Amino acid sequence: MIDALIEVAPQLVRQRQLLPAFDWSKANKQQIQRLVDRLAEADMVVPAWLARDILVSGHSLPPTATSALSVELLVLSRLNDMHSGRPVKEVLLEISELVMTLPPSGEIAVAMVRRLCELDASAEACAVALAAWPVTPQALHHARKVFASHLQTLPVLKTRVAGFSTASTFARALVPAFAKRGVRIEADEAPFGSAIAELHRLPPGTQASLILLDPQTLLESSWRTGFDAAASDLTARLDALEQAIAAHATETGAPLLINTLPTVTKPSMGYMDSYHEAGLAMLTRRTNAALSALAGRFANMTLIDTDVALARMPHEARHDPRLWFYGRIAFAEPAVNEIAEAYSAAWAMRQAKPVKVIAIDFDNTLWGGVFGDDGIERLQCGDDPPGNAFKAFQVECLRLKAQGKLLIALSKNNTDALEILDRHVGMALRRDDFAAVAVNWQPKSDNIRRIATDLNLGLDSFMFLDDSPHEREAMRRLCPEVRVPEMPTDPAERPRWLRGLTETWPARLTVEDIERPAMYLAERRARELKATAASYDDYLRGLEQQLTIESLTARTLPRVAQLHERTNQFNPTTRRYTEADLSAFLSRPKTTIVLLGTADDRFGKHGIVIAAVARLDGGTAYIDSLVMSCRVIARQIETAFLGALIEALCKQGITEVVAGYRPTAKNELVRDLYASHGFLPLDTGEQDVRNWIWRVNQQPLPASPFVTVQWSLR
Amino acid sequence: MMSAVATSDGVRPEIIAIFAEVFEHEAPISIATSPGDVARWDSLNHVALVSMIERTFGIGLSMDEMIEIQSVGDIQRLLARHGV
Repeated sequence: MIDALIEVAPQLVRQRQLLPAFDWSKANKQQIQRLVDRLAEADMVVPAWLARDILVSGHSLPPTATSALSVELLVLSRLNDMHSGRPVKEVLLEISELVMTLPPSGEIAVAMVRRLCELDASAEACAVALAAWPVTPQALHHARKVFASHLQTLPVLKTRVAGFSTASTFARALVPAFAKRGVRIEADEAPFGSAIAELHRLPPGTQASLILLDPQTLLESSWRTGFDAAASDLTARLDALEQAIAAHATETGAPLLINTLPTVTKPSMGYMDSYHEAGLAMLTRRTNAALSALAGRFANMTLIDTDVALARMPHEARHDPRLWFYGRIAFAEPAVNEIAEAYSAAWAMRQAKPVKVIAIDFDNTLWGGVFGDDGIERLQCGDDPPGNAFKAFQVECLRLKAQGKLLIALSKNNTDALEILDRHVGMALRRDDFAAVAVNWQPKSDNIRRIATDLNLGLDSFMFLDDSPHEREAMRRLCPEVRVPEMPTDPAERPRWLRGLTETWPARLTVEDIERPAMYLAERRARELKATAASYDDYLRGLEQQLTIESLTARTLPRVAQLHERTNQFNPTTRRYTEADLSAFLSRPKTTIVLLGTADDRFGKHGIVIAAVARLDGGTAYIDSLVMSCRVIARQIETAFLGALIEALCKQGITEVVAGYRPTAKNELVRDLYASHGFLPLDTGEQDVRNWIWRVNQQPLPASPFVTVQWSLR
Repeated sequence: MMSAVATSDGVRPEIIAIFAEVFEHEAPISIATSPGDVARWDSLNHVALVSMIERTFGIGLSMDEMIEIQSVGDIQRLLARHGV
């Protein structure tokens, strides 16, 4: 029967008859070879659908038949071809690349995982299964034993999981979701429906709270008192929820991840649903608006948009009424997996070092065509296809700039390519939108390193966008710290793709974030002044710097926390005070003083660039932290600020100020900070800290002739 | 997977495989095997069991049928009812 089918395979393939339904595990190796030969005789290759069926059933295909296959099928064929022992390194490398770029899914992922387990390649089996999750959760079932031991190697995150209905399926789904991003989540499950109580009383040692809201419980109404009941039941629940979230945010300080309610698909009032106060759509909107307001207020709250998480999922697959009535399970398995995935992605984003700089290529990235070959007139960018896709991409770049990212032009071109930006009518970007430019024929890795030095930013805060796979590969190899995402080849796909790059999503936007591009432009101009000034003093004098000092307030709290979080160089103690720590200081002004400074100069505003936390103990003040943005290094801002800080401390009756320097890999810059400001060494016997002391009437107050200090009246 | 549980008389091999996967239960099972005999057969895994049965055999079960399953025999009877 098989042999007969194989002999007529060319016809069957053309007509897609019989062969698609055939179980190839029943065929032997010779028969597969005969099939390939038979097709070759008819001048045909093995089509992808047939190759897929054959490979998934455990066979391999001869190299002659695999040339046109996708990488995942090719890798599967090579795995099936191996008899025993671990697969060769080359194949393992291909697998790890596949996992990063085009994760396999469906039966291919399952077949790959099973084969890798058979070949004892546990790490790869796990990687493929996790990459396939949550699209193909079955793959992980096949790797469950290796997955269990893989989990033991990951760092632990202790969380408390609670919901308004059953949260067990959610807690379970969080395990692979977080393992995907290298975290072993301990999802300690609170009693059924206890979300509100949990928010008020978080068990000690918990690193994060994960709350799952569901529309079934939150929007439930008895309807006993008619329309009023639906609205007032929700009001009561929302009040309790708001109070609980506020209590959690202010009292525990632990991060809280919570989701919005998904869009209503079965309205309770038909077309009136979206405007009547008792309509489910209306109630959903009210709930989500309340949650949004809370997320805006509390930095340690992350709101996960359930609609975005479930966007790929058909509505029938989201909720299974049988599961709801059987076990109060509000989200069906595929949906709860996608939601868990969104929580994990949001958590990873909170932890990741933010991308601050986007370095962008010109030809075929910002516009279609090559300037050197096509000339300015024929470059594609504007309001008509295909140039409109490039213009849309530029608009996305402008959005990133508006969200505080610095744009860098990084192109291999003659310098006159820069003029395109201001001369071509179709461009959305202008030359001044770029905080720095490198348009020359040097390697892009050299250029990006030079710009990083100029801007005083680490390469690990850079992302590089280029349509050329060669340039991307070179950047990855030569500057491994730079993030280099794969870019779709079709320009039409790119604007949407750029929006989806989670690494560029802002975790939180402070005023400084939004003003950052303008500040860097001011700095670029200041650098130009420096190049023309006769001496450094002349340059500093020409800057006309002003420093405004004020005490910490609720308004400035996010930025001061951000300075503590991000500053590595100008940071003598590396104490990282969070918003919660700082807001605790606000409530005890007698023992802790937090000052901050806002800098301006002739070229623009720099925002809040320096802050210090001083702890008072009797007549002595201890500078527990002093952090300054690297944007204003070497401008004597720190001198003026230290003077103001010490002066303020003396007004509180302080007679001596003690400050420490704890060396790290990055803070060499401030090793001599206190010595150069008149502090004397103080031996406290501590091993890893060098301490310094300043005594009233014995040392002069630090002061700079180049910075005008004023106190804010706010 | 199947060779390890060769003594599961009268139980369909697909069900043995499902029990291994959902409950990580590798010991022999019989028609009479019920939640009391399987460590992980709790209400939550019961849901996973039902969805695995539905996926494996391409059928849909009602809530009554979900509740009706109290032993391996119940599963086989349901499968017969659905003609698989």
